[in-house]
Amino acid sequence: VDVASREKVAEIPVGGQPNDVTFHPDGGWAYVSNRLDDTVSVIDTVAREVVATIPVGNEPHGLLTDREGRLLYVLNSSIDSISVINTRSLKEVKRLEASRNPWALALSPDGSQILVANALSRLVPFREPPLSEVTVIDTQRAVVEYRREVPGANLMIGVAWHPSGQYGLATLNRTKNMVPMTRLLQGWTITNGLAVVWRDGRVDQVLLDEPTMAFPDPTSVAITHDGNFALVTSSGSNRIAVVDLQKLISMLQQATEEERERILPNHMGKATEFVVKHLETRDSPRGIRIAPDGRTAWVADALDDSLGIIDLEQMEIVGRVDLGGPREITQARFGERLFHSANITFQRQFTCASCHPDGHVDGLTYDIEADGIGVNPVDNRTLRGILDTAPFKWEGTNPSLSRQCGARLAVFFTRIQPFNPDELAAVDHYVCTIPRPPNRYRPLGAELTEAQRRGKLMFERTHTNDGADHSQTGPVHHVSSTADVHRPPVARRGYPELAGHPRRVRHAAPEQHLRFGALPAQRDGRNPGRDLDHV
Amino acid sequence: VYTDWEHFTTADGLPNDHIFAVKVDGHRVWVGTEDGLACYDKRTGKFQTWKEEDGLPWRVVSALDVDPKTGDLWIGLFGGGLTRFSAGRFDHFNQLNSGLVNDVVYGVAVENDHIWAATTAGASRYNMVSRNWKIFTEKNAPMEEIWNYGVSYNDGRVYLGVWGSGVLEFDVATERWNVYLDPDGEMEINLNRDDGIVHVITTGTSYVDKILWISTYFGMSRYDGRNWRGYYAHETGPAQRFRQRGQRPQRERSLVRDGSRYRGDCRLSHRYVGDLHDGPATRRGQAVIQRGERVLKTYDLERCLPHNFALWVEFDGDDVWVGTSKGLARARGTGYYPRLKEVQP
Repeated sequence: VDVASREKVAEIPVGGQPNDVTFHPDGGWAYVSNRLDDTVSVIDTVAREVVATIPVGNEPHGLLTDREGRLLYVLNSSIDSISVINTRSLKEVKRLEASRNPWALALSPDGSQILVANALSRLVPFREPPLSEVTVIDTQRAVVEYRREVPGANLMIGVAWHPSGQYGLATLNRTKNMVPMTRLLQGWTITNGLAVVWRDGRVDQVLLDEPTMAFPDPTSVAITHDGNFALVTSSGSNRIAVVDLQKLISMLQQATEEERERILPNHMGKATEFVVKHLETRDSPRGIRIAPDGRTAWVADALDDSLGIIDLEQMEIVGRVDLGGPREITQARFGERLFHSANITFQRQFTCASCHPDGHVDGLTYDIEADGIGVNPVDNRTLRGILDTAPFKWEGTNPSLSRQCGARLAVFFTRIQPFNPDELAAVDHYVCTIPRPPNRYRPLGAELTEAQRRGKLMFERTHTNDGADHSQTGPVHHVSSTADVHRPPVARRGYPELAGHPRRVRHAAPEQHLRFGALPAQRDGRNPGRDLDHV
Repeated sequence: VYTDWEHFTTADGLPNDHIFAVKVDGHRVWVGTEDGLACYDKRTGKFQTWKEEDGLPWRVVSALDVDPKTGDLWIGLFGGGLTRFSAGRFDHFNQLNSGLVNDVVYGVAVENDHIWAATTAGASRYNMVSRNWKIFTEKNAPMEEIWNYGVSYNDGRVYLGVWGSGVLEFDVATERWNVYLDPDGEMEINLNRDDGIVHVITTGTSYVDKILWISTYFGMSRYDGRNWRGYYAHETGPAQRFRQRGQRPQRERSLVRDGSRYRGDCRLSHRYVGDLHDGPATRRGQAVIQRGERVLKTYDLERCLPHNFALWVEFDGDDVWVGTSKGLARARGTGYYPRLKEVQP
């Protein structure tokens, strides 16, 4: 895109599912993460062509160089690691451990630190709230130096440093998955906001929601060069919040310790004190950046295939670059927009994508039973490759996606009018297009490894070691029927009387391929082991 | 001769006084104890500690190594498997959730992008990038016994010290094994002097400056790639008594690293011994310099080793850290052996 003429001037073929882009500090090279191929494309920015392709870890997303352009950091989102690439040799020199689903990263103004926002909470014990992490890289040594904990937060996918270097901002949501979700309108389920990650390790949290108008799916954040404003995109409500940072920081500094720790992270009345404006965008604004001259900001309206241009002096959207998406809105695209829109939810608290980011999982366990006492926690399930895997719901009680996404969604989740028939058809159609990721453990046509052969034998065995019949396992890929499972009693904290009453339920057999990369592994979210990945 | 000793015990912030492992990483000194992990910050003089309630997966820390690339600390847990300590986060690997062959881990060593674990039922090699495990036992390595006491890596070679199987050398480039066994098969005697490793019950290995040092239950061995040399208690003085009392005499290994300071000379004609003098009440001690069994000089010290039962020595520039059963000791190496003469070949 030519920023002067504000037009698209070229298209450069890269790898599969390009997700993020960054430049070498000298401007001569651009690096693009190809999520499908597990590679990074190196683009000669003058020739506008890919000149090299670097293999990295699984499903790379965010990427960034250090200040000198010596090392390129690539976030391998599905294996929770960070590839460190020597930009001269284009070889991976080391791999660092991130938290879960590292997604976005930002370099401190002095170049000494990189903040990495991780999309998913750490694996936490059963019935404990999420605990997210902002990982801090020391760029001089290229090692992970700190892990800043962000309690109660999830889906941290945007991050930026303040020009002062005193703090960074990271987007987050606070999902109240520990609360029995009896009725959305009786309380809240998901709130959305920012983490203020101070250089000394302190982390504050504030909300961008207002009581009757939430700020669903905060996705990206950019800070103006003068340090006065932060621009935060809400992918679910097609808005950008303009945050007055002096007001925000002043509010935090005037608050008591108790308020900073317990009140402000959950206070839905505070955003009006520091959000000075909302800008309306096109569909699903995600990435946002300030131009090097500091005069404009550019926002990617992902489901409109366009870039919005914000004049930072007027603080208005003043232009748009059409990236050449299809003119006709297909049913799949219509469904995708609905999937990523909070218009279907009471007070626009969340979207389908809030719990299924990228059609996958948010890694949380919810209690969505109508009992209201938290006796039936269930782990979130991925939508990747869901086509032809009916029946749905853990217990297999929903025969079709239309039932799952229609009336049931309205009753249990969204609490306003459900999708109309056209919308429902479009959402279902879109959900069925969400692809299953390639199997990194066994590429198509590859022989089984030695360990996989052993696992296959165990998986398919008909007798246990002591000779007992053990033919309980079904086909490898999918079982369309349900099976009775004698579920052990679950004693919820504070409700000991519920223990000792085992419940007989019917389980839809978990589709093994749907579990790929979707920890934890059990229906209620327990057993967060990594062993299933090896299956 | 180390004469300037400093002691660290639970009174100073250690979680436990039984010290099993020490690893220096810049200003940090990692200490593995019988009940927790500690980190001594040389800049502040303060300890930070982690016990099970702080996330350490198992109380007994038996081995430590630092990945120089990532800065992560790898921790062997005696009965609890292996854990990676990455910027405050513990990642636990054990025989149920990973390819670690056994949870009783005696030694760990970082080799390029791999971590090795010496366990009581074989050795495991974990690729930290691909996250694949490889297990080595009698089935796929020349391991006559599988009780792996120690592992070390340097200069392209991994060395496993195995109870009853001598030393196994793994060439990283070719992934081939080489084995060092006791040619005469005798325990406390060597029928043919310097014909090979003293005995096949080995506990620790160290490969420094192309010299392989091996500690065994019955003496210490040195191998320069051409010639072997054995060291026995009755020839080398009181320090060797250690070996017979300690189950895992890493001390000899440390001495051999000490030996490398003597320009690689193996004669050890000058010996330094820190010995407990009056017991823990006074913590006084002696430094004894011997040639063979002849005492050349004895220094009385206000402070010496906290105890003679020493399982680990870690060099830190000219300083040395010693883990004992009564705490951790640091000896300052200022003016370290100033009159040392270069040995003429």
